[in-house]
Amino acid sequence: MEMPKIALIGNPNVGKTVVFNALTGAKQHVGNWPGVTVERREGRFRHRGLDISVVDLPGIYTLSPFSIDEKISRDYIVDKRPDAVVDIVDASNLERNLYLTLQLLETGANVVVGLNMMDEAEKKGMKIDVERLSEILKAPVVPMSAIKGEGIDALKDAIYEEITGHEHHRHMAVGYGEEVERYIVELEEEISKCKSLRDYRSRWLAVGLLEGDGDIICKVRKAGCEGVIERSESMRDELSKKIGEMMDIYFADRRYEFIEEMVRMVMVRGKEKWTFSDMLDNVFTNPVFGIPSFFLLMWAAFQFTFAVAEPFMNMIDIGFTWLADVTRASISNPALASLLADGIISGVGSVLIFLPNIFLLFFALSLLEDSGYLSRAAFVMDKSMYKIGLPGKSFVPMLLGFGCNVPAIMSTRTIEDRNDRLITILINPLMSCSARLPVYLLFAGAFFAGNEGAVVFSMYLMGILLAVIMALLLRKFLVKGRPAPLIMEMPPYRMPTLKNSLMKMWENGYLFIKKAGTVIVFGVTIVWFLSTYTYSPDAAYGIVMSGDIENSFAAYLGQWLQPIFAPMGWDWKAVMALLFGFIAKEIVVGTFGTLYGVEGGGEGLQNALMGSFTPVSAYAYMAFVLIYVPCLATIATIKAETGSWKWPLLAIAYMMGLAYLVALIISLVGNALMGVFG
Amino acid sequence: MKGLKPIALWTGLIGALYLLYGSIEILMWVTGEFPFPLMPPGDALAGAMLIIIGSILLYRIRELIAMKYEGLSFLAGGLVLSGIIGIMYILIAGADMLNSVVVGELWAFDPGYNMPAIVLAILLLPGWMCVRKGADFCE
Ligand SMILES: Nc1nc2c(ncn2[C@@H]2O[C@H](COP(=O)(O)OP(=O)(O)O)[C@@H](O)[C@H]2O)c(=O)[nH]1
Ligand SMILES: [Mg+2]
Repeated sequence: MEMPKIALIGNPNVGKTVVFNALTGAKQHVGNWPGVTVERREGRFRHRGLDISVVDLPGIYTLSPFSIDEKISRDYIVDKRPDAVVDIVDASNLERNLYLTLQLLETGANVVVGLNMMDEAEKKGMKIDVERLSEILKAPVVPMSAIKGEGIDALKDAIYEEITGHEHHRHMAVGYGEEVERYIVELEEEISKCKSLRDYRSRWLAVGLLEGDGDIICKVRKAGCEGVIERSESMRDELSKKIGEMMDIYFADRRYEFIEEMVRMVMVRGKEKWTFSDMLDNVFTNPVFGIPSFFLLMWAAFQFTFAVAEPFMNMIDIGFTWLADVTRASISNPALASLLADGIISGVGSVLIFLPNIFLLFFALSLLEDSGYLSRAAFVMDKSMYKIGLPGKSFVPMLLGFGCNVPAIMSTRTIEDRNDRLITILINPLMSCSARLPVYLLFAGAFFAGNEGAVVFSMYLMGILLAVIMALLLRKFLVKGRPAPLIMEMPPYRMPTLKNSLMKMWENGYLFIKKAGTVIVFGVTIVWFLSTYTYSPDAAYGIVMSGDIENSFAAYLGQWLQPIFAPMGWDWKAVMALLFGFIAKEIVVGTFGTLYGVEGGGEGLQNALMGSFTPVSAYAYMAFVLIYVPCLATIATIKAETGSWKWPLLAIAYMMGLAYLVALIISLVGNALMGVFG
Repeated sequence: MKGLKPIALWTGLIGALYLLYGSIEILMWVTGEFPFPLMPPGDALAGAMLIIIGSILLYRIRELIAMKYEGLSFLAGGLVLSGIIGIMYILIAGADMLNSVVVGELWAFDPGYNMPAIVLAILLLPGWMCVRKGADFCE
């Protein structure tokens, strides 16, 4: 006999992994599901002399195959037909968890319910009648507290009985109402005529077809039962008219009703006690205070970042200034000294000076994430974004965008709906990534001293606002349809650990350093070359050190492009910086560092900038840098994730247009106001 | 538990002080004046944050005094936010001190900027006693 196999399934965060480890101990193997990067964990254990293999399926809320995780789980259960399916249920959250249980039972799988987190349920004052629940579900139910090791042996027994027992075909059925049941029976008859569908439970297929489940329709079609599909489609239309509701919604509603009734029968809620987590959730997900609390925490994160970074920035500044002086003094070849001191050291230094900001911002964000707060924020923000027609579930990718748009865009894979995902990808570059931060800090420090925090914060808000507007426009004109409904999970609050937060901070900060050492060195070297040399027909190769930056290649190129930006009042150096920012936005600051380094003066970058910008033109410039184009890496990621050049090109086009428009508006309005008040 | 009622009232008072300081701070931002010593400089956002904390503390104060969980939850939320803001200002004051060492200037502690939020956060601390005695609450 082949080794019996069982599958573990359940909602996310119900303790599946804890149960899996308790069952299998060290005998496990971690790999991927074929074709996708979803983790696949396998192991085995021995009970009463029987070897049993276990596979841990991805954590999901429903069996409706909208996401990759759901599809993997369902295919495994209906096609691989494990000898038993162990459904881990969070006892303190019965209503939400039982939906999956009902769907599993409908497939005809041999379900064993592991009623986990009993300790948690007791703490909340809930009492659950386990026997009654088992009677209603017509499946064994094992109460457990996996984290304390309670109930593991009983679970093994139940699994053993299920595998070796003889009562395999007890099926619980949710009643869907007389009318609908008649259709189901009729369709089941039709299905039983089609021999190639014998492997599936006919009731499951019938319900799925009436729901309009695309995946089941495909299965039936592959089995060559076109007649069944046609029949089910006309039935679905008929029923839908009679009931006056979409069939998938109707079926889901009946299941929820059934669950509600069932929970009322098996559960007694004692005197209610709130945990600290419950209390915080009541405030942080409150309709009135949820969003203000979110803004308060984000504001605190930014204040902390800027204020605490300052001494460290000054240290780095002093260090790089010293290094440039030493280099200039100790190298006699003027070209080499200029390349190293004015080009690379001032260029890279002007970027690296913002390293403390980047480190601290990631530190603050990881504290918010590890404490469990960010999933609350996601809940609150997604709900309100969903209300105004934005894709739900897009908040986390947007927030990740504050770090870097590349992983943020990759994280949109969790969004099931294709249109929702596309919109989230296209607006993500408007989330101000950490590469843009140095530009804001440089300009805010020079032109808005004393209000840096608020000015930089306003850039982030502007990005969010524009992203919302763009999402609504895209939804209206390009990718039509309603956003898909959302279910969210909320893990308990935890005290974040210093070690973990420091680690995340280092990982992200290190990427920034690495970029400074590669892309930025490369960029500023080119900038240095262009700004130090000029064309001369007499010289060897036609190039010669110009001695005056206004006669350099960079000046010619910048002056040629500058008229485009004349309405905003930016000089050619600013335009050059934008041009190089195409590669990576950190280079914008690096370019300024090198251009002014070559020009000399040594009074610091911020003072130098004050000669060429006004507060209004500086603010417009910051906004332009925020919006004007995604960096090369982001463009490549959009291409990879959408599988077509159409979308990255669209992103570039709309962002350039938008950037110009916004900068122009800021200049016009700002200058008009300055004229009135200034 | 009768002993908790005075503490509940106290947190309400601190909540009112948060509102007051926040409003003054916004007012100063609007007028650009600093009429009193030991007052925060005008920073509209910082003022708004104090107002948020004050509103959370006062929003369900009646339920808190009636010893209901609904009230206690808003005290818990207010305590967490007030603590975070307080710690943030302490860290900022520390960073300012370090910075004065780095650039070689005398450390100018700005009591108006840092103090109100720190003092209010400390004054609110007794509220934790209510949260710790949460088991005595009902509804
Ligand atoms: N209170 C309690 N917590 C548990 C129990 N089982 C697991 N947990 C916790 O629940 C969280 C999620 O567990 P995990 O196994 O990662 O869940 P998964 O997402 O289903 O794999 C972890 O923090 C566990 O420590 C339990 O029986 N009681
Ligand atoms: Mg897991």
